[in-house]
Amino acid sequence: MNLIFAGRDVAIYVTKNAKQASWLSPIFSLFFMLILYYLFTYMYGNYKDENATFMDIIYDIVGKFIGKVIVFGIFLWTTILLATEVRYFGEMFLISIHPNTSINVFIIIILLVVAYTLRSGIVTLARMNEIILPILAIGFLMLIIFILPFVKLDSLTPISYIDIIPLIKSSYSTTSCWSIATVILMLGDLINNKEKTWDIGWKATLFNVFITCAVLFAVIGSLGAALAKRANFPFLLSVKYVALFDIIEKVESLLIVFLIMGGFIQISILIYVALQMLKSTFNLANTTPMISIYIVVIYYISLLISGNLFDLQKFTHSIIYHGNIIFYFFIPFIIFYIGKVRRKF
Amino acid sequence: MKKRVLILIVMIIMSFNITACDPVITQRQMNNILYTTTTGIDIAENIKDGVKIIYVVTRPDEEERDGLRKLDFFVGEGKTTFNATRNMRPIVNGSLFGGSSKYLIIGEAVAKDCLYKYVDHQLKDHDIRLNIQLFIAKDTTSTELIMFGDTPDQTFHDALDGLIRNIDRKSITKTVDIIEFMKILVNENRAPLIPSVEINSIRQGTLDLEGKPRIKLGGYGVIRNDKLIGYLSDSESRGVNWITNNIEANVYSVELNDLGVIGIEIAYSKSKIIPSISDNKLSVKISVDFDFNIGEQSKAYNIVEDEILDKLEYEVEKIVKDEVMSAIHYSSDNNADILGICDAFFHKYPVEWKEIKKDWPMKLKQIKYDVEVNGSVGGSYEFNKPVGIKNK
Repeated sequence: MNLIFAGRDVAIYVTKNAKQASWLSPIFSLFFMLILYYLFTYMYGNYKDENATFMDIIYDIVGKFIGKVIVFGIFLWTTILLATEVRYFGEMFLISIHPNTSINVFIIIILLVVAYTLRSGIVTLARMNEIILPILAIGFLMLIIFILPFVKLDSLTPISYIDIIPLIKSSYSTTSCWSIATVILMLGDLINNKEKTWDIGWKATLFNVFITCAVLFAVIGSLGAALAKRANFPFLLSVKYVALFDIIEKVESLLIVFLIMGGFIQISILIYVALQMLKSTFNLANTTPMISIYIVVIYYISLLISGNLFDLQKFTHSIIYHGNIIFYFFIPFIIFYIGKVRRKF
Repeated sequence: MKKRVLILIVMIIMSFNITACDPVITQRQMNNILYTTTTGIDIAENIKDGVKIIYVVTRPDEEERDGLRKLDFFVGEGKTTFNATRNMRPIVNGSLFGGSSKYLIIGEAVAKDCLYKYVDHQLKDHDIRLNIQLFIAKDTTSTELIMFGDTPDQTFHDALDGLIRNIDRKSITKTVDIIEFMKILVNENRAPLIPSVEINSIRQGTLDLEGKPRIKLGGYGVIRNDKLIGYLSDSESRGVNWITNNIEANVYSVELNDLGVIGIEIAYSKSKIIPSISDNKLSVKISVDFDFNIGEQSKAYNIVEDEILDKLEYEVEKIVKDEVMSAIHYSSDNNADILGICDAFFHKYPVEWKEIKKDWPMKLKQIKYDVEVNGSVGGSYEFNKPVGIKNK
């Protein structure tokens, strides 16, 4: 999921504050993400015997009624986030290869494929992700290597102490994107070897830092911060700039393929977890009948959420980023704090 | 199982039909696509404040058929660049793909008007390649330059390709792609440079034009506040290249009074811009180091003597310093930061830069320059002593 954000729009938001130094902003997000992973590891460690989900932990700490309200709140927020991501998935095609096509085409196709796959359950998705993630990671690294000859160090410097505050400010958007990890961490009952959550978590965070820094390094180094913040899809623009030996061009089609694969996994996982939250809130026995209905809802919300790409970007910057921090970062923190106060662990 | 197979079939059918591409049966054939090789931008002749676009296109199938490229020229006019590209469509007899142009020729009048508004579409359009190289048609329009440069033996595109292959031999200019240009254009303190192409008037009437390019590369065009303010001469352009580390090679003829004329070639160069601030006054030290080889001498004597080599180095340094100074004078006299001096200050003094950048054009004029040029002889290719020295 973080690869999608890194490849799509993180560069636009980080360059607004930290300009040429913004490629270092993910390092500042590392600290916040490690706190998040630590909280989850600690909580799951204490509820190991119950094989609890994060929803169960919330109910236990704040009580059933308030807990259900909180979980339903997270569900509603995840639905909004999901609709935004589905819309971005469609917009990606309009920006890059099919500007004169109705966005419905792309949204309907991805939702149909996701609906079909979700019926097979989380295990199928996880197995698919095991195949897709290495392809995405190697693909991104390959594209970054292609961009390297176009990177100018002058565009990435100077970096001085006056960049620290802008870097912290710009790390807000990176932290916000990465905090979506909470969505996956909510399904504690599906996590085997819970004692390894911390171990895997910090490695995953380091990987995120590395890949996001590398993407930002390539984008800002090749386009410059001033052009990157003006672009709709900066990484695509950088990849488009690549002309290997004056022979190989149009490498951006590879990026689109990678983003389609990543988008599919991202949307599928978010829908799966959202339905699990719904199941938990309303004590449903099975979520399979809900898939089709929920997907239709997502389809309509994704179209209603904004009139165009400008509104979507504005919406992401002014609402989504803050919402992610509140629902996926502060709520786990508050739950942890209340749990501590109430001596639940 | 049957249900799954059915769903799969439906999805395959959908994937072929519900896309933006034409249905499979009427797919677009390669030989119907008109690939643009060069794009020209001029001011419209028939629309007030409008834009004229010229596309030079080639068809791959015709190239294969008789070994020669068959070219077409398509011209469109409109209120904007985007509009002009679409207005030419009714006269285009094929599938025009405007994104494959390698060169973007900007008419001089366009460059003098407001460059930004004419090239904005080139950056926004998803089809157009971002490594498209920019040139200004010096003293003419892009249409005239393209038409004049295109001969039955060599297309404009091939002629320009050939000139670019030789660009490093004289180091008068260098190619600039649209991203590189835009990166400087968005910097309010910098003055971007675009190489110029002009009609090769020397050849007209004096030499056989058959098979020879009728265009030539000139010095840089200087853009300030989105407008072309003038051109650098050959030596000023090379001066810019000395300072900005873009010298590949050049041959100088050095006169050493009674020792005759010596032809030398630059083999390597490295320069540094070192800004400094003292007592709130800005100064810049420009240091240029280079090696050169002796390619010829007009008089027969043993040149490999310390005294002669020192004298030669001194004279070559003087020539290089004059070129560097000419570029600096142009920058100061025209308040145009063509050398990236503002970037040098920004990189060395990022904290102080907020103050320095206020009223930068005025400060640029007041900067004190110290130019240090160090040249050294590398060798003299295959022979040390000229064959003119007779055996005794």
